[in-house]
Amino acid sequence: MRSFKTTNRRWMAYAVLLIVGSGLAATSWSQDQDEDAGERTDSESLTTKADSLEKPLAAMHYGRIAANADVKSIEPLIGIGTDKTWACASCHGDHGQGAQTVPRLAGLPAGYITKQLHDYANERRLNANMQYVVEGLTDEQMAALGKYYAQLESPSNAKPDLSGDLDRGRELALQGDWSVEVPACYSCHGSSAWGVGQAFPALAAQHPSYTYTQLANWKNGRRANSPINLMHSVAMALSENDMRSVADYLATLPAPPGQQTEPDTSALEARSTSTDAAGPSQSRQQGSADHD
Amino acid sequence: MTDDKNSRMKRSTKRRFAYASVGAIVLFAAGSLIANYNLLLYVTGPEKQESQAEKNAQVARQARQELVEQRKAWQDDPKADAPRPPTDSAGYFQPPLDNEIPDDEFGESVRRGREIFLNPGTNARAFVGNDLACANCHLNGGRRAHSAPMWAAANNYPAYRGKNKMINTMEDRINGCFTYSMDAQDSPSGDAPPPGHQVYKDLQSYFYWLGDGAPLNEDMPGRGFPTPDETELGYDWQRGEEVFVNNCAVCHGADGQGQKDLNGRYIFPPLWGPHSFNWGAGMHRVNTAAGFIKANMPLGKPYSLSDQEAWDVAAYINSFPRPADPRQADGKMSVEESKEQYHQHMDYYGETLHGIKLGEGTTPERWERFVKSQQTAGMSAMNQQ
Repeated sequence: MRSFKTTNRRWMAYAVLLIVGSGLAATSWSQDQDEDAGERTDSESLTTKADSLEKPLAAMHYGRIAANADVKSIEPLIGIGTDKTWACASCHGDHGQGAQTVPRLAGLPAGYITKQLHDYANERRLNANMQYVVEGLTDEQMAALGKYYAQLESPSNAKPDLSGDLDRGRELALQGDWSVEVPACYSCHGSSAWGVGQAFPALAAQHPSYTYTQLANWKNGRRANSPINLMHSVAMALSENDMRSVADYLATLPAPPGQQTEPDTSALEARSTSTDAAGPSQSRQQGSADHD
Repeated sequence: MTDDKNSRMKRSTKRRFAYASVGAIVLFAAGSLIANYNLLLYVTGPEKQESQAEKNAQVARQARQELVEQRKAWQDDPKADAPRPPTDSAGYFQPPLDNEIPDDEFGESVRRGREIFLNPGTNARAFVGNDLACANCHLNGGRRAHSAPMWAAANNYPAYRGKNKMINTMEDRINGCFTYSMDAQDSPSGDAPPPGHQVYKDLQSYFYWLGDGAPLNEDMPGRGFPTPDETELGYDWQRGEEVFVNNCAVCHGADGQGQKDLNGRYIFPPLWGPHSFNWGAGMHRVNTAAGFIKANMPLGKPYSLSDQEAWDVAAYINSFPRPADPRQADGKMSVEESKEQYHQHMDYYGETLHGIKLGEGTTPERWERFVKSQQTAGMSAMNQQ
């Protein structure tokens, strides 16, 4: 009997060791996976370093810098990469179209893209892959990348795959749900969800897993870089089902066109000053043309 | 015998523990996978718990359904309870839902009215002189409480208005919207729609439909814009500049001129300058703008500004040039006379701010000169682009 007890105990010890060991292995394995999978939707203990002093006009600021950036200089970065960082195209596709949780970049505003790269660097937005990538980028390269992807045009390769309710998604995109203080997506992201200005990116043809993950990240704090926390407020009000529905609906829309980055404003001003004599009639025409 | 039994027992114990451990590992691995990859959704199916939005939608549908039943009961039996106004989950009036638009000529008119309301620059183009839409201030297509909802206005006309000192029908009231808020003087036709125009009929159909079930001549909760409490400091446009840059400029632009999308459509309306509302519009009054802003702005973040911030930023927005008050009759009346007669309220009309006398009315040419002068002087947030 005594020997039985001892073996029993020994076996129990083995079993405990095995379970603990496999638990540790599973955890470390899932952490490895985590690095690969990049953005995930649960929060763990990761939080951003966002401070409340983030400038709400940062995207406009980066947009102006990007307008003057030299796109030629970063072409190798996109297709080949460097010894410090991977080729953008290796994840985001040859045409910036993205896939799954890797976002489409083609046709997003230059200022927005540049700002996101800075936000990864400043840990306002967390993603292990992108955190690694931005370590190897200079400010100039970030701006040039923004300009490059903004002017890129590529057709949609996204399709709804989260089994969301497309009618509900359409309702949220076009009208919002004011009973929970959610404005229409279109009321900020434009009438085709093709984006507005430098701060509001296109949502059309974005991959549903990516859109969904971003909404989840605003909720759980892995992303805290929305101007005046606009998206944080929206995401908090959306249910799991609404997030899937709106992400799926946006994936059904045609992709945004490539955006020519606005010419430098100072140059524009100089021109309008030089043609001041013709100014009044021109600007009136412009005023009424705005209405057509 | 006993030895054999003992060893068999030992073996089976070993085996049992081995099975148990393997089972534990499998369960643990499966559990950690589900937990780590948020796969619970795929295991349990879509979330079954009703979200707040779904609950609210259910309340809305039920309220409208009850109205139908109460009406029916009252029609058949005068002793039955009279219909009560349907209310939403927050207690405000619940206007009809889109699927309640009748499938007839009236329903057609309601739909046309709604399209004008959402997009007057296209659908009532001849009478719109700026880049605004009704729905810019009457949010959610005129449904939102505390955003001057049309369901609260529909049943309050005809009424006497001090602004024009006469009995106003709803048509007269809408005429005022075109004249001032939509700056009809700069529109292709040069004026608001003429009396009896279809635009009035369709807009009135839409409002009447939105007010379906609302009591007549009742001051309903959520009507108009709320007025924030007056603060000790009063309002000050210079303090408002910082509020504007931090909360408004990302959408409306540092220069307040709004932003268009790639289709050329204004998504964020201009708040001042030649393409905004004129000096006769209600929104140029600091108290009116402060109430609207407090309850509705930034979009999706209502009541996030303090009373003081709302007052100051409303003052800032209304400290810039905008089109002239049309009651000046093409400048036949001076700004001073107009101020005396029409502007005895909270505004900056007639004052000189940013180096320009307010009220004279800006035009695209004058506006361009003003912007240039501001850039030269290095004044105001408008240059911080």
